[in-house]
Amino acid sequence: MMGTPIIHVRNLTKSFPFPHARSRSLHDALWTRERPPSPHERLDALRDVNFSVRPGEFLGIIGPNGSGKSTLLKILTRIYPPTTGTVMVQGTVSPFLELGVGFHPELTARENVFLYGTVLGLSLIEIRHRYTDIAAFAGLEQFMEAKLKTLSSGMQVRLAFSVAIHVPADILLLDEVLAVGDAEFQERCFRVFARFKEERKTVVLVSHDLGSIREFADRIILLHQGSIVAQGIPEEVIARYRELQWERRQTDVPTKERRFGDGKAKIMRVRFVNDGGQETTVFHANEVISICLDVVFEETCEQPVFGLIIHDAHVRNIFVTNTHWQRVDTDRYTAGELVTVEFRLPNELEVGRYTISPAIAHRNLRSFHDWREHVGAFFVDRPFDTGGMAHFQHDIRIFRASPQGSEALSFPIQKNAKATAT
Amino acid sequence: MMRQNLTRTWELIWTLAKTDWKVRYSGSRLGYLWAVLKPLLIFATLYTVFSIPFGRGVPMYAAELLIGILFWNYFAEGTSTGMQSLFAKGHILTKVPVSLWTIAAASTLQVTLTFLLNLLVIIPFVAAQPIILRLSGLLLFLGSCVLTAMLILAISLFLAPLFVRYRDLKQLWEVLLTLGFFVTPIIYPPNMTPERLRHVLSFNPMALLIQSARSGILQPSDMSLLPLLTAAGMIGMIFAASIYIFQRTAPTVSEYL
Repeated sequence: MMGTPIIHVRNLTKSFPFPHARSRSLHDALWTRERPPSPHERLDALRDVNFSVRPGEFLGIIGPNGSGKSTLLKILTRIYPPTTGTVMVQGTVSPFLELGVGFHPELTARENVFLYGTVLGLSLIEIRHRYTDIAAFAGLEQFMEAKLKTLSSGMQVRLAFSVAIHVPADILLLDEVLAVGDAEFQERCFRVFARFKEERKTVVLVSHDLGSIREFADRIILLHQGSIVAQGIPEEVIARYRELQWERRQTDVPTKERRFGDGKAKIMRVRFVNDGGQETTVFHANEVISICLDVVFEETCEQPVFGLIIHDAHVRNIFVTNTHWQRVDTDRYTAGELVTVEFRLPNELEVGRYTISPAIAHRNLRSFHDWREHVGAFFVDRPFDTGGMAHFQHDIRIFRASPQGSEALSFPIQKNAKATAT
Repeated sequence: MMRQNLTRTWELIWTLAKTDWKVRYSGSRLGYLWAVLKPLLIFATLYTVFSIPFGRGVPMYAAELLIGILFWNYFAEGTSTGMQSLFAKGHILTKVPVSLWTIAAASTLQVTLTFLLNLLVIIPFVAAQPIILRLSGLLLFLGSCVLTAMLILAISLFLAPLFVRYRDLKQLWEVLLTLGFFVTPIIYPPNMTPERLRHVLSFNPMALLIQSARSGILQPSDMSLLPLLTAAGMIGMIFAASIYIFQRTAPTVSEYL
């Protein structure tokens, strides 16, 4: 990446009056005393945002709904002025914002191309020049004389996108283009993205489609509640985004904790610890999952059994273990003693949310000191979701059959089995 | 570069105006004919009612009434459309950066296209009168048209950003337009203006413009530049004030759309 930034955003804050605080009628404006808007009546859509984009960079912006992505794009497009801070955009901009566009349903597709093109800053000659390409890219050559309202919404978006990408702009600002088209249109978008990358065009893309953002973006910004919480290389920022999603979802799920036992020993707390020794709730591929139970003994216990169940989101038991089956010598504890029991397992779980139910049982396994159901939850994140229940560490090998066809066909399975075993 | 930008801006205004104009008459059976038919029908109605009380002693009452109606209609439609122009283009303004004044200008241009069509209606009326048209008179008429357009644009620039915030303006403006129609000498001759309204009327640019438009065509031998110049001065000031206010109200318009 070379050259000075083409987009430069410094300390950008954008606040809107809350809808209820926005006087829509003259009556309100005239008869309510003008008072300084209290901070409670303003909503910060963006808070102290700083970043820059270099020429030729493909920047992705991700974040949950309402995190300020679209507002940011609108400020870059100069549709909204910043409340405070500076925004510098050098060069011409072609925006494609929100679903749908400034089209007129009563006009023909052709007339709309000219209307939208001029609005985007093309001259009529330039539009005439590009007209065939625009119609062809949208795949609507036969429909150009039809009134726009007779076209499907997908067709309309295709047409708008086609006009937008045919504007010779230095910077493309694209908001959720992928969410609106069918698979074929998406494929077409991907080809355009790839071309943009080749042509070293500057692109800012807002999308929920993490896969494509990962593929095309050089860098990603993660917005959350109006602030940039992470920016950098795609893998890391997407991982952070997943964590954020999990955290949000975790607070959404009501705890269905159930607890019973005689209380001779108590599970005080459950912690999830990652490879780095840090507490977390998200485990990534190839990490070791460490589940720690902080236990306090109220009475003396001899050889208690510590156990654990991992449930998936459908409350199926995915994994069950205890110290009895694993033949762990658990020793003897006196009243008041504090211990930590750590369960370590390779992360071979599929993407999803998991809850755990730990328990402490008497050595005879007939009575429980403490059993806590769904006391904690953690999440597993992987680059992709296979749809399976588990993702075992494995490898896949391929062996060519020997050139003597008949011979090869007679024992390929056996041979393969041998090969994998070695 | 400068010239290229100017061409682009003009093409944008023209395209917006043209499409709006098309859309406005699309779907109706008579289409563009309505542009001519509507003022004629209004004229017929008003003439039927008011030619008895006001038309007596006015030699060219029909032509005067028609010119008055055309200009007032132009003003009323222009300002109403202009007031709602930004709001109506919300679907564009929230997605594409467009300088807002071009939207207001396009709405003025769109209404002007209709007005120009309307003017065709005057021809038979003028032809029916024993008048010899003069170039100076036609220029005076043209000047009135241009100044009306400027007045419409100025008021549009002032009202459009406000309308986005206060939708009540539409109701209010309709009432004010009705009031304006009656305090402007359109259906009655200027000399019938009530005494106490006279000095108020001297501040009414539309009254001055209609007066000079009428005299330019109907009394070319006895016309004066003074009303037009007075109106020009007023409109200049209104325009300056509108631009001043527009620059302050326009930047946040898209947030209210």
